Amino acid sequence: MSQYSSVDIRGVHDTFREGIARGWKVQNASALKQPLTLECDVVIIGTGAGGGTSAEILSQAGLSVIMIEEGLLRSSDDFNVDERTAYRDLYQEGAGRNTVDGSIGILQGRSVGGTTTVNWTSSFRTPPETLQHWADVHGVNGLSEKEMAPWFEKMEQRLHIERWTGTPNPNNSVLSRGCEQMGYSWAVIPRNVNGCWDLGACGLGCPTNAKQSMLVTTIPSALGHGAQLLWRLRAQKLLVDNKRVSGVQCLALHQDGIQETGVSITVRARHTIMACGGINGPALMLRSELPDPHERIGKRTFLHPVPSSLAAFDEETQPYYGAPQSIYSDHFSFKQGVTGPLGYKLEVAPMQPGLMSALLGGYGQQHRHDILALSHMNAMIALTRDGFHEQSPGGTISISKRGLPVVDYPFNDYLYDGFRRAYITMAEVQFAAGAKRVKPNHMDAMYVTSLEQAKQQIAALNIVKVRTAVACAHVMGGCAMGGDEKTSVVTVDGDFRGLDGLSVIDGSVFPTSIGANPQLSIYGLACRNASGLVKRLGGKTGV
Amino acid sequence: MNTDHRTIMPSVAMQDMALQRRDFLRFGATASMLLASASGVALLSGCSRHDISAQGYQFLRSEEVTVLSALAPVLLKGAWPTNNAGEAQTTLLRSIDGAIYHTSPDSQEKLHQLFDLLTLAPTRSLIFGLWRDWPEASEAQLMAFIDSCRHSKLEFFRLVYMSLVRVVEMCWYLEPATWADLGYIPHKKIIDAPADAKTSNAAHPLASGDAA
Repeated sequence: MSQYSSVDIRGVHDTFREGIARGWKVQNASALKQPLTLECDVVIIGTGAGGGTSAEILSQAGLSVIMIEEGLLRSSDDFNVDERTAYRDLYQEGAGRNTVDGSIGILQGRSVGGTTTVNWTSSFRTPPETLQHWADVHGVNGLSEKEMAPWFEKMEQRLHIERWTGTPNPNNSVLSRGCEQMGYSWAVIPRNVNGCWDLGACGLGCPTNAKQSMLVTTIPSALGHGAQLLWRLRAQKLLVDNKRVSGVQCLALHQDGIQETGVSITVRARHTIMACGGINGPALMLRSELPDPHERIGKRTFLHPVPSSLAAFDEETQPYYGAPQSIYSDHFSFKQGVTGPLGYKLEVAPMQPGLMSALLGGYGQQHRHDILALSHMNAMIALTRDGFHEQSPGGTISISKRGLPVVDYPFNDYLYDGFRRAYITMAEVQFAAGAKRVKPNHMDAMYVTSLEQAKQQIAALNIVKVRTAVACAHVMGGCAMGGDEKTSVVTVDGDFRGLDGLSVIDGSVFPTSIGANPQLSIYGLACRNASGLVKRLGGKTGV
Repeated sequence: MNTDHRTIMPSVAMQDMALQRRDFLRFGATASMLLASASGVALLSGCSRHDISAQGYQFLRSEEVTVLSALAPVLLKGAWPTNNAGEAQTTLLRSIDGAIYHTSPDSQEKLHQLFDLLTLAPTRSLIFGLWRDWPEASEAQLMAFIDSCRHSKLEFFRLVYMSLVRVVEMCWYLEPATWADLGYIPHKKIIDAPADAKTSNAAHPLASGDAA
């Protein structure tokens, strides 16, 4: 029986506002009336996992740093567990980002702190199988499990990453209980939290500052070391002089994040770090018309396409309360080989009503009937590991006439086969955990009351895009690192090929999807590459 | 009174729904032609009201208000109030307006184009099978339209279905008034009165050093 209830959250200090009051250099670009030119050692575009990590390391080393962020600055006083304002204010395209044919809904952050401000805290090192695959196939040398270990260790310490010791909420217990019954391996998720209140509001901005996002860790540290932050500022075009990136031309956005104010800000820097993430990073490169002789920019964009399965139980599950993700199963991640049929990692998703209603599918009386069961439901998800098989080349980023990103992610039988197997696995786990009815999240599916019926329904389903609901919460690739200039945009150290003065330090450099929630993979690689950059730029090392 | 065979009469709704579905498929090729020309039609006939939003809205024009007002009670059947629906409608439209406005200029443009197609008589009737204008369409006709889009073999119509259904349902269940029935009570963030005025929870300052 679920024991949760709503909590009054009080007594939380907004440490970011306190920092600003102490004199941090933080500027809302939408308030600027005149054009501006700024200079620094390093300009960092984007304040997410890669940007925040880099900013701290570089400013600690005594380098002057300017951080550019197109999102809003929102901190703990603003995080009031309200879905409406959270989706509008903290997510790319107001949480409405989609692939061009509407087949995949993409949840990605847009705020100071990037996606780390709104993610669900799950922190996994890059699977060794993934690192090995990158070495074997993508010429990625120097990032073996052993070589990456100290970087992961450093960031795990920095961000208080530990296996969750709290009681998994009922939504997560469905996964552990069901896997246990089925004989599928499962484990507890490590989370980047410190003093977590176990509320489940991670996706709406952590209201208690327990989540160790960039917003409450590396960015404050960088600002405390004299770095500057400008927000509501979009990087429009990289400036290139004589085969060298000399900075970035930016456009201030209105407070609403949609209109431009017409004010242009130029930042000149000795070195530029792009930390815009997948999708926005390749779009900036395309707007800037960077050299791309082998047409690799934007290619191989991976999304961990997520099929899901809904279940209802007799007992209350209250899937909107409690730490959103605390249990996972890697049983099927690499089961059929690294480059075999599509593998998937099992997790669950928190179910606040706004998000859930969009996910449920259907309309009218059927939708109403389904959503009324919310407090008794479980939403299981399968993160499919795209990019490892030749029939999973991922999607492509291009830009619209306004220069905004367009994401095209094609589907094929390789992916559909994976979704079908994932639906079966999720039904098995849900029924094994005691579900009374289960349905795969697919336009043509109905709730069924036995595993036998579920398997029959799934076997008969016409699994094709849009009919099958596919979500995405992890954007990777589009600016691949590698050893071969013909197939990579940046080196393993993050240096852009073809121009000096530009690094990419974010999730867009991954040559395949990760096969796990990606934040720690980004932190570890960012730590390594930003530290390497410090040496080359003559900063103080050993800090 | 339109006596064209494609008009849906409630008494033969099922039969006509099937008929309508076949029409959609038949119009598949014609549809893409019409879609390409519809924007042209809009411009030529001076109907390019694209940028003029309806009163008090940032995105919604009369076209969007017309379509969404007709569809919302059908999409939200079971949740839609039977009495005093006016207030619910106003709240929903305002919420949808904000949600779509805050997506992106590209999405706004695409959705404006979609609603143009849905409201211009030629495309509304030929492509979408709605022979009566939106305010006059019956519930059965509206459901037939939604189902045809949902089950269409053509990607375009499925996208229409997803766009309309997702935004209406999500915006409905983002409203606190809809949560009591679901048993959902969100956690409550309480900001206590600050001792120091500088760290009050007013909106983030415009620049460092600005008073909050």
